Amino acid sequence: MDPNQQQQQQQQQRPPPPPPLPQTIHNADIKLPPGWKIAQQPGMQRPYYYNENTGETTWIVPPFPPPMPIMKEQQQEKPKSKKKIKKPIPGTDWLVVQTPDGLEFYFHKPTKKSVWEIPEELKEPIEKMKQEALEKEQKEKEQRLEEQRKEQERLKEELEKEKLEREQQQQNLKRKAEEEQVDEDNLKRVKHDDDKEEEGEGEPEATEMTEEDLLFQLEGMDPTELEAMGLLPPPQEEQEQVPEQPLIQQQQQQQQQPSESQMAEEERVELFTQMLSEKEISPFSTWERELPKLINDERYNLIQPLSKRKNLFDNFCRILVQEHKAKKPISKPPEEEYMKLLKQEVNSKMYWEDFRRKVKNDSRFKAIRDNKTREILFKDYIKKLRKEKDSSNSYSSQRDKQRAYMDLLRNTKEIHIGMRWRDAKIILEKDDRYHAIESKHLREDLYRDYLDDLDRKKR
Amino acid sequence: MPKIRTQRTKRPPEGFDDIEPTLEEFAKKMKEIENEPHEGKRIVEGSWPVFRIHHQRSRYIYDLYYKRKAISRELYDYLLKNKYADANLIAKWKKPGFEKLCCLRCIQPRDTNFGTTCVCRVPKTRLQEGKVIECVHCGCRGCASGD
Repeated sequence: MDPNQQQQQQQQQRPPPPPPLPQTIHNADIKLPPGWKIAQQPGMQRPYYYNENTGETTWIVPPFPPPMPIMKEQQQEKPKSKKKIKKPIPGTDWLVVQTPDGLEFYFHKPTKKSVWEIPEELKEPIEKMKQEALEKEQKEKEQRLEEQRKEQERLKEELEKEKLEREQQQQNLKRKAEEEQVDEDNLKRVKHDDDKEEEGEGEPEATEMTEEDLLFQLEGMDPTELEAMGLLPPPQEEQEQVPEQPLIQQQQQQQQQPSESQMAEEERVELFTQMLSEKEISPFSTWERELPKLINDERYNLIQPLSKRKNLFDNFCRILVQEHKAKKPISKPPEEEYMKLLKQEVNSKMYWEDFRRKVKNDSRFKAIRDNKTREILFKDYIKKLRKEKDSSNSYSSQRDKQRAYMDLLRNTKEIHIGMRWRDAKIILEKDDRYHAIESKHLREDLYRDYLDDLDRKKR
Repeated sequence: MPKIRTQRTKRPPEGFDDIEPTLEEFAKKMKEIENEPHEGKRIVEGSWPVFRIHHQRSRYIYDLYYKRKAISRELYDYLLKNKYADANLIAKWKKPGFEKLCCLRCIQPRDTNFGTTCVCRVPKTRLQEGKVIECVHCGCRGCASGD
């Protein structure tokens, strides 16, 4: 084609856009960066985007140009730590040199020798230096922690205030709604409220005020109004007392930490896993749910890419689970345990339903998974008991039982002549020998005989 | 359908009690999402949270068994059988290149105009657009294994 004709075509028509991508977004209301227009030729199925300034055409929604100042900050931060740090050791001619890789060596000035290992003369002064450095760092960290704690507590208090405010405002809204509306509107409102209650407080954004709105309101309100509502912040003394105790614990933890720039990769991993073990993590929970426990700790940031942190977390959970299993007491086969339970709880006159109700929450009962096997074992056991009872219904054993019962009667001192059977029963029930005699009538008869005996002895 | 436990259903294997609270949470979240209003959202966007929670729940169970080895094979099979996790999705996660797959719709070529996979499967290094993509099926922002 001639260049003239091309130019004419360019003036008349826009140049053909690039071939379409598989993505299809057909929204008419997308915000475009400045200079971009949305257009559509008559023969086309989809609209395209045209930049008036550059003459560009694309099928896809044009991105906004990123803001410039952020890029500059990132560039400035990088060249920070690329120098060696040299520290003279007081009292000797040696220097401690730290390279940017995190390695340390000792340099003797007069002889100009550099040594990896600590020379003997230097051990004491080096320890002193390190202690001083540690103490300084601890103080700084204490200060930082105090500030963080105060901030966190203030945030918590504000959140509580917001919750109170929210509740109050909801109540106010509901009261207003009820007062102002006519009957028909009342019915409609009631339905809406029911829906809200059903949804619960899961999604407060659409209908209720968010925390941001409340914070904004709180800042705008007068302190006098806040006082009136009873939402004053507590005096600062309390805040200072509370962070002291956890600080002491943190100090002990920090004594083991050198400053971050010196640590090798392995040390970081070690510290991270240390932090995990201290934080009471459940191995059965998800990363998202355990994250708030970890994120406030400094050691969380030691390991940078998120995938590495997740990996370490997974490994840690795996180890935890293994420990759990090892700790568990070696459980005997569930049937043995169940038999023990039966022996404990069951007497010969129990029904399955009563037994089940009594024993529902016992772990030995639950250990057997199948309901039917439980019932079968129970019934077998009862059969056994009944057989034993029948065999023991022989004459001699009956006599033994009666003798035991008489002993019981004699031993209970509360029984006197005029005592009623009802009252005596309550005392005697606690003893096994009472229950050894199966028949109630026999028990009562023996009791009356005993009373007669007592009577005779008195006279 | 089965997730209703009666006296007639068999009890789950041991270890279920440890993970039950988390599974309950997922179920609750799912219900909340289902009741969300559709105001302010695109038509396709309405079902994105469902896919998200489905992925999260399956991911949780997959992690527990394959990564942390915190549950027994028995319990894992029980969970799959009772649809606590999506077995087909997990089968894809075991394959190289699909470790972070978002949903099964995004690798279905029949769902696209040109018989390809969804845009969320493209690694971010190949996308020179510099903008955030939310795929139309499940709202995924990139599930290639390299990302």
